Amino acid sequence: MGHVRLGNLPHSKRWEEVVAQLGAGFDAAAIAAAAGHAAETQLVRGSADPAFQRAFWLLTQIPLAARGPDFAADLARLGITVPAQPGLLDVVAGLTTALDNSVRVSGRRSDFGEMAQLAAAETLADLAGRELPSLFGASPADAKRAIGRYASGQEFSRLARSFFARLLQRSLDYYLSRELNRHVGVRFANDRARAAFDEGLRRHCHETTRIIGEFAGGWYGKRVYQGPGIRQADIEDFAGVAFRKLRAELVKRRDA
Amino acid sequence: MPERVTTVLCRGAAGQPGRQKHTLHFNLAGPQANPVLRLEHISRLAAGNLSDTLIDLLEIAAYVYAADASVNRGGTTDPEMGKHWRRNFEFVIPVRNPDLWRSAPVMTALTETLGFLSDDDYSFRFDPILSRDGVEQYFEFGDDAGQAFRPDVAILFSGGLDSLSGAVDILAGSDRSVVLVSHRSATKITSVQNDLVEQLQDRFGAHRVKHVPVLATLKDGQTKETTHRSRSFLFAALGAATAQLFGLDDIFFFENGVVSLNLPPASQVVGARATRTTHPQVLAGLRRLLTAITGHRFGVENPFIWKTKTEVTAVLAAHGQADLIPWTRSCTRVHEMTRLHTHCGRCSQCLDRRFGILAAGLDRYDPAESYGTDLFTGERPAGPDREMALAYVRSATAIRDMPDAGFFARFGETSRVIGCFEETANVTGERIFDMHQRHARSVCDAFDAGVGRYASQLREGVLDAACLLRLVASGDLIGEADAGEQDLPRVELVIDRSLKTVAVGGWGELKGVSARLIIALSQAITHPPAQGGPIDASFVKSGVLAEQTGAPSGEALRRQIQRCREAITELARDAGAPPPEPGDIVENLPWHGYRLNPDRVSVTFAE
Repeated sequence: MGHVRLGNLPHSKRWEEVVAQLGAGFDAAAIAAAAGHAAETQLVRGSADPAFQRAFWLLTQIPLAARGPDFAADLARLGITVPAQPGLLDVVAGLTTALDNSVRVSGRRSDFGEMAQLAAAETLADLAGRELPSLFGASPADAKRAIGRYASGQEFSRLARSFFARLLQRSLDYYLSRELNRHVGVRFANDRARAAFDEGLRRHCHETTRIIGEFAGGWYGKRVYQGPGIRQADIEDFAGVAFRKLRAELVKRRDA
Repeated sequence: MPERVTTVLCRGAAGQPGRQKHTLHFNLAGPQANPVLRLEHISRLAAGNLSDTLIDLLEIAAYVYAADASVNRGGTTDPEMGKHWRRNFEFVIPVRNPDLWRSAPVMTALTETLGFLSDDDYSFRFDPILSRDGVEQYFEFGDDAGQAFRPDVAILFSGGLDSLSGAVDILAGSDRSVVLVSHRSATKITSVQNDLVEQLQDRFGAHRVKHVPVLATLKDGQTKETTHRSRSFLFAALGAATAQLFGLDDIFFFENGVVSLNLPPASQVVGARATRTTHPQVLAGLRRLLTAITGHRFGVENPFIWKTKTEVTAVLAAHGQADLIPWTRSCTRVHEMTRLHTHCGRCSQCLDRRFGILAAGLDRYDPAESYGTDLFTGERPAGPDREMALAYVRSATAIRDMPDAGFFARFGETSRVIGCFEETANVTGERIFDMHQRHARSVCDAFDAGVGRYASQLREGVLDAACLLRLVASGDLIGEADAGEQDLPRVELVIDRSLKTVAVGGWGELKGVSARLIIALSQAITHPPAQGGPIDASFVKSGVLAEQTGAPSGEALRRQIQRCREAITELARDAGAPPPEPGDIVENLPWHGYRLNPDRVSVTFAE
């Protein structure tokens, strides 16, 4: 009974430009910039998306919760329900459930918000997962330690960068994945070459978000360890700055 | 986010004056009924068992289904990042038990389950019903001689491979009898379901198989949206009502776990664009809802949740019933179905079916000619259908070699499955990962066999340039591969055996298990390399390597290797370098074991 719905690119001059550049063999940097330009309005709106903001805020808080004596209780204060001794997958699942609940209450579901939710879950699974001796065999103490590590400014900058890189890549590929199949057998010798382009785009997004990582570390340390903590207004400010930097960086790297 | 609210006024209910900008009217009762709801082959006696609450449920589900089909989701280009995909419905429905339906547990289970299932927002106002007339028109009474039928199991029966396998598993594996509940919305499927039921009755006895087909459809010309994401709510309601008719407290969906979880194969597949028809969260929600409205435990189960399509197909063969495969229909494009081409061959369900059957070695029961587009050689014009096929193979190729952590870092949707089971998150996570790796191996093996079968045609260049084989593998297989691949630089490993670290390619450092693995493999270098020079290395058997790395089993060793490869990929990616292929650093060869790849690696020992 399952089914998957796929789509086509929207009709606009900006997307036609992306298609033309793909056909002309432009590299991932150029395509990312052109796609970012075509999706600019949605990306700008995205910075105000409540699910995105909530996801990012929870990413700032979960590592702090992991530093405390009662991880589960501190997560509960954030609206994240987990067993008394949570493993990494418990925390990741709890994060998603908390975000789903939050979005359901606000009634403001969106594709961008959904992508931000997934990016948050994937970032936590990825970065903390790398610290574990094994994913399924790790103890709750291992998981707590692995997550808590991201409560420093320096390490949080990695978390923030990974989150924004995933979100940027997902947002661009949300559209590009509708078009790239048309270039298999033409620009790309086969789908493996197209997958290599995807990987190039992923790498490019990671590079593009370097500036977010640099900015995020100081921002986090200043608010968490020298200020009153991270409030909703801080997240809004950070999101606005981050997306402006991302747009500028996409253009800069295209022209580099 | 949804901006337009659609008010759905049912059975003559009135909305709030002046508030509705977009209103739909539906009424299941009367000669002009729309939608139409009719349960067939029901005895008058059994119909008397149906409670008011279950009649309410049937009507609510039919109205939800009708509204779902009546408001479009903005089309396949998803302008403004899918702004119109999500809709907002406000229902006003007269019911027989308004207090029950307004209660918090029922309302919460109903709105949450529907919201997750369809990506839409729902609110309900339940008014007292003014007239209870019209219920009889929901039943097309059959022969009352059948009223003595007492099934043991109620199965939601679509006529596809999975629900047939489920029915056969019960009928052939036990002496239980089944009632098969089918939703009919298209006449082409009706005959498929009838034929399959006849086959089951012939093989296992008519006294053990009863069919309850249910017609639930909008009047012609009123459907504006064909995604039907709320369909399984209707299906479950029909199943629950039928179960109650026969005194049962459980309904069974049979669907392979990969499709139940339906992880998105491409970035554009966001939310319920990958259906959540039998997603564990949906089944848990339906369980909560049905338990709340019936006042006792009501089960909604999927016994195939941890099986792949190949394994589900193999169930039929294990019971000696694989010859039923040609009678089943999996295709979602019923309108394209012809006598010759019973499957389009392009939709996700057709791909899943064909790969599953090929991997199970049962293709003699599934002729290639029955597909409008042949899996391997049929033309796939550019567009969504081509991307579906490419993404299916691409996903399988990626998942097959993914380490556990990499899998969960790639598919955030898995986090919506973890909490749906009673077992621990780690156990559920391991089950999800293992099942997807088994599925990925099946798909890759079936694809590789397809390459072998058409090797001559590939070499001769006679296959359609837009067929799946050529789109996926063309350059690699027929000598068009990028010549540059031969000149890839070696990756330098700097191994420090005393500190137990390995610096990789100047990108970063491996520690822990991944470093121990590389160090263990470095002991199999057959000639001491010149510092930084190329190596020659022999393969290390899995058992020997597992002992050296402390892996308790072959499976644990395989995971260690995957994690090591993923760690190297991440180091490369973080350094902005092209990540190596999985076998570039740690090469594996079936029956031989593992070694450091002498073609791609150079080694320096730090001490």
